[in-house]
Amino acid sequence: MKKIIIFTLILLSLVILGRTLKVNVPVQVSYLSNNLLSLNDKEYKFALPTKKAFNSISLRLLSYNKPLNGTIDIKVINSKTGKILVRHSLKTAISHGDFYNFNTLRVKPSKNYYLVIKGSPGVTYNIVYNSLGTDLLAMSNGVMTGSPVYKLSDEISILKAAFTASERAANDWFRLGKLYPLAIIVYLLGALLLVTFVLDRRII
Amino acid sequence: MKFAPLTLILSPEGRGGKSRFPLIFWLLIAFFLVRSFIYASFVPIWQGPDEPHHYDYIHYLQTEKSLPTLGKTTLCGKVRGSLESFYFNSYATGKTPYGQGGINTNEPLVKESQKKDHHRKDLLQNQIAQHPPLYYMIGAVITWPFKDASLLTSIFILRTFSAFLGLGVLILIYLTVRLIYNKSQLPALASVAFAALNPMFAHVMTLVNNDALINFLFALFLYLLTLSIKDGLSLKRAIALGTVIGLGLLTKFFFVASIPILFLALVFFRKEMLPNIKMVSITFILPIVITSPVLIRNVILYKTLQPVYKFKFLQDNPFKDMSFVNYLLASSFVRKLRISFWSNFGWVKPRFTDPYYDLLLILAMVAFVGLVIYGFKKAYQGDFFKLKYVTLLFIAPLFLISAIAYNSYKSAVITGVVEGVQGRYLFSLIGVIGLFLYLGLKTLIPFKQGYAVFVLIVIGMLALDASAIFYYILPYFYF
Repeated sequence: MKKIIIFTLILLSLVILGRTLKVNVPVQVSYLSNNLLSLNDKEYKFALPTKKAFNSISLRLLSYNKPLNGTIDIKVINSKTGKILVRHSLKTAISHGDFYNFNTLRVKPSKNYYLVIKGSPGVTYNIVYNSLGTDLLAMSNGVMTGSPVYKLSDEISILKAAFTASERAANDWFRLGKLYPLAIIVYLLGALLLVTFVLDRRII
Repeated sequence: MKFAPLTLILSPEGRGGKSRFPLIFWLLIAFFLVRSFIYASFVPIWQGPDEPHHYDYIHYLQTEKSLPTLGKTTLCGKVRGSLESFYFNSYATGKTPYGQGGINTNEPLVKESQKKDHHRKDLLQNQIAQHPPLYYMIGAVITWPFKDASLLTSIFILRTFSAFLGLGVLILIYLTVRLIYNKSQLPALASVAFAALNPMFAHVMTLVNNDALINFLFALFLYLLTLSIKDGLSLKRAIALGTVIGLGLLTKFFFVASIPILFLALVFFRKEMLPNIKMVSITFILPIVITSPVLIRNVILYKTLQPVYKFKFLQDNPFKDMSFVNYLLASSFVRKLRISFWSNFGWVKPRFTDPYYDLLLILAMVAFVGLVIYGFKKAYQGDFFKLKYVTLLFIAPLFLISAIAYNSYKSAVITGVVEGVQGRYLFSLIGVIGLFLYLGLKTLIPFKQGYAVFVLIVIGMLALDASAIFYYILPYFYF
């Protein structure tokens, strides 16, 4: 009886934890790059149509491991309503070449967003971008095309992440099909069984 | 017909007390196999440390039918052609393929590249070609029937082989600890649980890498050594010990660490192990005989017993005139060792975040304090056999760490780069580390004769493993 109660309680906790524990995963990325844009006293506006909600933004900046010497303001604006959805200022130095990541309130998907990145006078950092991309709307001294290197991330439950990964692995790597999600389920049940057993000392 | 409960059937008592292994041991083994499948199949190929190079060595033996040469042997067309299609560099630079419109591990492309499958005229050298050949020879034999199949098939077979070596390590840990701690099952079970549920150990034991065989042979060496300490060094044991050391040296030069451990055991337990000098001579001579062909080849080819591959040389070398102690304090050695012991689930990443390491360090320090008290207690109780055994085992990982540190220091002085610092090398002694954790914590938390600590280790390692899989490995490789 004791074992059944422990098993049920842990199973229940597993389901609740699996649904409530979240992991941050990228939902939209733009990795290609072939050029740099100086942020010294410059402002860039990039179209940012999104298909999925996000709650953090990562931008690839080149700092050359030097002090920032100013501020970089980052905004996400809805072009239709003019509403500023994300407002963030980078004021401290970051490591060279790293993605600079910051959290935002959860932003719903829309085709009408654009990303504004503005460097104050004296800022030494560059932004990495792809001049062959099509997202760049405007810059201080004219209009041209291009896409920045960025990642938009959102939190999803660990169970959703595990089963999405299983689906992807099933179609890609070793092509073992249903064994992937099955392994995740057996893992969770096995962990449950193990905890239930070790909490019952009679088994030793 | 009446059936006995499963618990009773699987317990030693339920089987007439003849079985050595209790139910919980089998549960840990079964769970390790499930975890092995997850680690072997979810981690994309080539994402283990130097995995393309280790596979290439095996492939070289199959195609060229001779040993590769460091500095001359280059990666074959099959491996080279697959590096890009299997996103070898993309993952390392944080650009997961799923962010680039999905993955395309197009096997026909890899098969196509087999046609231009030569080991010459290319810039990409095989940087692990200096290793002795045993693991690769076994790998070449077990994948021989599949050499014309997909690359993915060969990799999965080799990873599964490593997982079974991991299974062997767990059985040997249990048997070894039970030889000394035979009154209670808990020290042995806690040591097995620490290894069986350890995420980094599962990762290392499910890769194409000679570490898997080294860990198995080291566990076998410790079992035979403990058996000889307990019951004396018979002729059979002397031959077995010498053969295992020889095979270890034929797998990786690193196995040389077993020799000072054996020497110390002979000093500590001279009454038990030194009645016949012939036996001891056999134990030391056999490894030399077994490894001599490889050592002679190394001396002829490289003018040294064991060459080392230098990855890069910095012009401005910060370690050039640094002392060994300063190197340990000033370089990232300690941090790298700690991180790579607990997590380094890919070629470069993913790794746990800092709070994990801080928490694990505190736990290790507490266990260390407990272990020192345990030593004093054994001395006070006059249990010098256990005291000597634990001291011997305590010196073993210290010796390994010192060897890793010195090797890294010597390399850094020449190249300017902190390399060769891999906490996973300590997995040769993972059972010993698990035993120390248990003994140390049990001394400080003696509730229920150590059962509370056993539960703590099982649940703690499970939590660590679940974190590794669900928070780091799957999100990193599939999003």
